[in-house]
Amino acid sequence: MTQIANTKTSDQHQAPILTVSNLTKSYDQTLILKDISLTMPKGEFLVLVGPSGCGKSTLLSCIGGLTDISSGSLAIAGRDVANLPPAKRDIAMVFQSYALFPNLTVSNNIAYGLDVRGVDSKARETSILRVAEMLNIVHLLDRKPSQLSGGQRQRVAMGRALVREPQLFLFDEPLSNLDAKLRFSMRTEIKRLHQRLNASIIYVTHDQIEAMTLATRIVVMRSGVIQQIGSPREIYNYPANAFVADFMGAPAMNLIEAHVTSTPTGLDICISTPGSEPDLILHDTLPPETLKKSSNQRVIFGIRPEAITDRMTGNDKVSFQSCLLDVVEPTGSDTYATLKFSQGDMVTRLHGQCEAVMGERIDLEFDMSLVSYFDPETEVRF
Amino acid sequence: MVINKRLEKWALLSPALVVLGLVTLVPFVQTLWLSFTDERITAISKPVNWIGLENYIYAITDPDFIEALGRTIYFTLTSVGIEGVLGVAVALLLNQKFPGRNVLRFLIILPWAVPTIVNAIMWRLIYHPEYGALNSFLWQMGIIPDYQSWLGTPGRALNMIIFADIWKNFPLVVYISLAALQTVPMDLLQASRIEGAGAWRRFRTITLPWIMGPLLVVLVLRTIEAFRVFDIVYVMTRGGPSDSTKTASFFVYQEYFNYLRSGSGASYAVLLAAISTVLISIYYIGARRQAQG
Repeated sequence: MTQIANTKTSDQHQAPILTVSNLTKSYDQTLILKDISLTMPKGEFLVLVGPSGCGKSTLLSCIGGLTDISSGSLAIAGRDVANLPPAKRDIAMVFQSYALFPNLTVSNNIAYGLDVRGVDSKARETSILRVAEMLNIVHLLDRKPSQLSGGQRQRVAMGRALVREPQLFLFDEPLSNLDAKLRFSMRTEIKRLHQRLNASIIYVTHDQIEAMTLATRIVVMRSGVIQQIGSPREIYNYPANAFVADFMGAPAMNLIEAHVTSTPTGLDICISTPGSEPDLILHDTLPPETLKKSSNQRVIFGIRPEAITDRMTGNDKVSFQSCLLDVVEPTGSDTYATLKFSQGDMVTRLHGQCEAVMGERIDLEFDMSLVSYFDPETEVRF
Repeated sequence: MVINKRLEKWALLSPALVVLGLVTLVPFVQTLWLSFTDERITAISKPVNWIGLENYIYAITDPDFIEALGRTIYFTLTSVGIEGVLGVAVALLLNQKFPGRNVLRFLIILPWAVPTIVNAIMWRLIYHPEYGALNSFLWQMGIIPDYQSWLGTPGRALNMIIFADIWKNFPLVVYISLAALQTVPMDLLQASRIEGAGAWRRFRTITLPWIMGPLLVVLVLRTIEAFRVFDIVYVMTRGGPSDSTKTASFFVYQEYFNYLRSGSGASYAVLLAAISTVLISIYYIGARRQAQG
């Protein structure tokens, strides 16, 4: 489970804005971050994602200099910053709570960092106006934070970060305190800002949808260990282990115990069913190399709900099966149906207009091009 | 029904109103009335004469009273000012993590728990010109060549009282500030650090504004208390030497109970009440501004 799968993207030729090597952090005897290593090219939108307590915020805090690291090294734009105070790291941070200074007006909040640096008043005003226009908050400049809505506060917090034009932006769950609708629109706006400014951003979230939509690369963490680094597509299609497979995607990937046996044409996957129902036998024509000589080998079989459908595509990597539907849940755009097996359930995503009901048997298409196999002991991908 | 409701309201309020009326309104009106008369405590049987503003004119032209008022203002500003600065500074220290912090937090409240009179007697002993601890300490350290009469020297006595008053009262400021400091959001301080602010700027722009509300309350309460200072002066110096520690309240006390001029004493008291009202108003305005953020 602790295997690190580091997939580099095409940006690797650029000089890295952030290099973390073998970083550890412990409080008393408890190890919070274990041997973290990652490299981030300039202009990347790197999202740290994981369940609460996985160490993602601590890692961000270490990068920002708010938390001292226990060992390892940390460099921003090639400069070792491990022992530098936050102010000397040329970073800006946006907090979940916005952390706006309540006694200062919006413009003074934005200009706080400029005032610390003694920027002259003309340059100060120009800078404030520039970010205020960018974030559509010019009309709010004279207000106090208490007079703003959550979304407006979030914009001001971003303004304060943007105005100094730092090398690296740190976002600590910036959208978590907003309602669903606002979160959606702010997400789009953050993405637009990133594209427009080509800023280097490290963004912490526990929301895997946010991670998928915003990131150029995602770092999935669990219990202080990096599970996988890769583009959203890589993480989604080729999860490094069962944890990543389960954590990324909603509804989650179906993970179910199965037995696989290689055949001359590929791999047969047998998933046992309860009662008199015949076992589900799927056939994969392009299985991973490591499973090519298996005979009745126990694996964890992973398949995304959308890879099991009633929309017949005629794809040649498809395995057809007739399945008994257990629970059927229409959501409008899609209908989710549950299939029952001895070792657990599998969720399928059917057509929104599908009129199948509970207990009905229908033909389903299993798209085998994106299935995953994990070792049942180590949970690592085959 | 409506009338009954209204009656019920007043019926429920009346016990409190009656008590309040008897213990504050009646004495206040009586004092106000007295201040316009020439009543003397020794001449209760004699008819009392209405003399209009005569007492007031006498009071505000009385150089002794003006001097006493000046001393009171000096006492108030100095002791409350130092209590504020010292209190916040100690609270900031006690808000840091270090071994033995809880013991120190407990110890610091002790001076405040000592009754004012006991505190005054204790400091009178410490300042004693012949066997006081202060003289002994300073002499042994070689700081003073001879034992000093700390409370017997006109230019010095008031400052010595102020010192004793600060010692007793600054823990209150420490406690209120410490409680407020614990509510300063970590995020704000972190954001400020990220923006590059040093310790002093963080204190000035984040911490101090955040604790200003509670701090203002305790400082105004202390101001009002300090302005009517009487007990500590009474025990330590009785206003002496040569009136150098005679504060306004002490002046009123003497006018009333030593010279037994109740009419005139009342006018001084009303003047002090008026000045106190101004102080309370400042508090109200400050508090409201704070609430409006």
